[in-house]
Amino acid sequence: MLKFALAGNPNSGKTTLFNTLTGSTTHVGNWPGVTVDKREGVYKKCAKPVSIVDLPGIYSLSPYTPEEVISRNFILNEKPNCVINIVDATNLERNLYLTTQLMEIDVPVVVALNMMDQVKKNDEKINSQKLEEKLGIPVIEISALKSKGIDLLMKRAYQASKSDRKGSTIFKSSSLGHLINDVKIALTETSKVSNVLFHAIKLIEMDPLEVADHGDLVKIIDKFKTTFSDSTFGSDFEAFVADSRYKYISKNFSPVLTRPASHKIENLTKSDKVDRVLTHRIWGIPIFLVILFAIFHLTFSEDFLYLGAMGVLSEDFITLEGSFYEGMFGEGSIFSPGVILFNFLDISMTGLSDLVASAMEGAVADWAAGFIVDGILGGLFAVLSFLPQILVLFLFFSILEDSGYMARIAFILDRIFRKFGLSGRAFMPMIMGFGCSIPAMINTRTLADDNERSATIRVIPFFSCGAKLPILTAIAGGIVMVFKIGSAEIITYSMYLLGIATAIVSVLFLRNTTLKGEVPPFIMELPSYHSPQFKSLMLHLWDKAKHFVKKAFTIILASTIVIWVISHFSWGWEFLPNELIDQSILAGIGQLLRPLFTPLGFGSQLNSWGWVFVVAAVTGLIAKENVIATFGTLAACITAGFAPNEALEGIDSVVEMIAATGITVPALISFIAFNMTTIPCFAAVATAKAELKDQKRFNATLMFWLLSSYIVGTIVYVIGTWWWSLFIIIAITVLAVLTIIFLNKKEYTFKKKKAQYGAF
Amino acid sequence: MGLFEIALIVVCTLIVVGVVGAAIRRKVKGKGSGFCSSCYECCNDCPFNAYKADKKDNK
Repeated sequence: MLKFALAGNPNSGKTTLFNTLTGSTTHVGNWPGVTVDKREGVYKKCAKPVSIVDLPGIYSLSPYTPEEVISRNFILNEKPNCVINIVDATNLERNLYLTTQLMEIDVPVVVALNMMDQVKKNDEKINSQKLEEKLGIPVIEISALKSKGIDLLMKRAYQASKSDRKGSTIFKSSSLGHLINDVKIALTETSKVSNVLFHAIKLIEMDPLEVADHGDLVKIIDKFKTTFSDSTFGSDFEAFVADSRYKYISKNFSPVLTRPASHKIENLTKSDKVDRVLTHRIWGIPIFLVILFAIFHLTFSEDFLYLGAMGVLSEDFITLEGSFYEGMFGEGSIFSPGVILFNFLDISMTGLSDLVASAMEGAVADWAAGFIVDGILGGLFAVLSFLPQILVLFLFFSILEDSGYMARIAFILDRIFRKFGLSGRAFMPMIMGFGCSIPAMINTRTLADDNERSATIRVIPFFSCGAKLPILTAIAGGIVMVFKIGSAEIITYSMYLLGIATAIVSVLFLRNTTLKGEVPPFIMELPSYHSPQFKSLMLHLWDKAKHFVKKAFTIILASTIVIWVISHFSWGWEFLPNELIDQSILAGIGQLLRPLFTPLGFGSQLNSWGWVFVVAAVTGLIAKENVIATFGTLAACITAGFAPNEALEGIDSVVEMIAATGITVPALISFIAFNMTTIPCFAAVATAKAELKDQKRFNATLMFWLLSSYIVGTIVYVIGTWWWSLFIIIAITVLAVLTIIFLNKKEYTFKKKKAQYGAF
Repeated sequence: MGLFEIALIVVCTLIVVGVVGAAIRRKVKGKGSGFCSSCYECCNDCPFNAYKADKKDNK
């Protein structure tokens, strides 16, 4: 099968083009570095099927970053039949730098001038025909986002793939041309190497990979270089070659771009103007916090825009008393869109449970009815009822991402994280952690420093993922319903901030103790703001919904079956009715582990049903949704005076648990904090193991997660129960920080002296 | 025990065995279906080797 590679600068639209060509729904983000590994798909509209490989975004073919190494090795070693070079037409000069390097390889290259719609919108013009003549390779105007020009691009790429193209360079007639020819001759005489032109130029640049491969030629090349002198760059040939490329591009290629007469370089674009506010030194972070709160308000609030609290609405406003929709849209207030959708699904699922329960009554054995209604439906619906709120929350996150604001968040938070030992580059995977820890951990491959990477992987689970949302929402809802304090959106929002704060403290601790290292500089191109694409948003949501439902009907379903079985059988393998499940295997395990959780508030201090919180936390290690599924499965069994065969979903199951166990608010918050910061799901643990590679680091990571969740949970419970303990905890923290600073200073002085006086 | 109850036990056993079996299969053999992390970041280095099995073609 023919193989075409997509190569281009970060955020130039490679993944969008890849999705358009292959029909995939791979995640596309409006920030650089979304793709960290190559992906493959098939394009079938050419005469023969073509395998399309999406390479990570790169600025050059020099091995500065892991992405550049991946892309370079693929093009040189796997020899694709054609390279489609995606060029961001709104940033022509910078993007053509990579094009001039790709042209030096013996492979057919086709340039796809992407974002042409944006160029036209800016009243600019690019003479693609003239550019094609100057480059000597096909240039096709496209818009990957709007699927324009794609067929022509593939047609030209297919034609080009039939040719046997030899590399060409823009330095042919420059002062470097002679030197390149000399190195080419030396290369061909000493070894049988393909892509001679590319390797020759890279050897002149003293590219570390080339020097390692052709070390024997270094002396000869140095000799050639003595005949060549440059007053500006001296012997720094890498800088000289780069400068020559840019000068050539500026002189020969830039004239193909025509800007409107009114355009001035110093004019600020719309994006620049918006950035002046959103990335402001002082206001940037407060604005981010307000935006985040607004999202939580729209998703979780039971008092939309606080109209109820302000007394704008009457008590019976849209209660729809007596109807099927009673209490769905509001009670004395209007519910937020997330809550309305949640209520709709909750009412539908309760109706379905009741229907199944009444159909089974008397027709099947009591245990079977209980198993289906309480166990399976209770567990499944407890989780599924949160799907609307998850989708609403991720719709807003996707809008932030697609619009380009997420990239700004990394830029804003870089200032904070840098002080604690991580670069903004490490923050990109952390933001991805809000969606799912797994891609976030994979994305840490962009970090060159192993210690920084390990620290990032360890704190990623603290950025609450979608699977943890049911825990947050159900318990926050339970607290509001039972204790009548706070509001669901403030509790959920605070827990997200607690996760970020825990990550910051952990990074500070790790980067000053076991995972020390320099903070690399963070340079990131901020993409232009653009309106989110409806199709792209829907694809994100579809992926999320599909994943959630698939997980519910596989892992969660299997878990609820197992939980129900081991909660209804004794150690002697005798069946137990609902009233006796505290003698079950599950209860036995919970009782055994219970004392361990006493410092966190949900251990021995709870009454006899307290073990349920312990087993829920343990089942959450398989998948976080299991925590609420466990409540759903067991709620009907342990509720005093429960109506038989009535499944309790989501928040209701938590309300029953609170009533049955006597758990306090601080203990409930501690329970959320523990689940947010403890060992993530099996899938994320497997990814961490694969990414960390080193077994010792992996074991240390597991220990770190266990310890941090235990400490965070304990702190939350202790402060919540005895407020004055806050001062003791602050004192201990200050003492710990001072100790770390003192020890590090001592070590630094020792190293400085060692460097000054040599080995002692 | 009636037919319904027996069928219920059989189906549930199959579900549990299927899910656990698929997970083991993925881990051991590196292919199969049913336990993909579904992280939407399909790449050649998928920790569950799910990518190669599930990768999509265009229409």
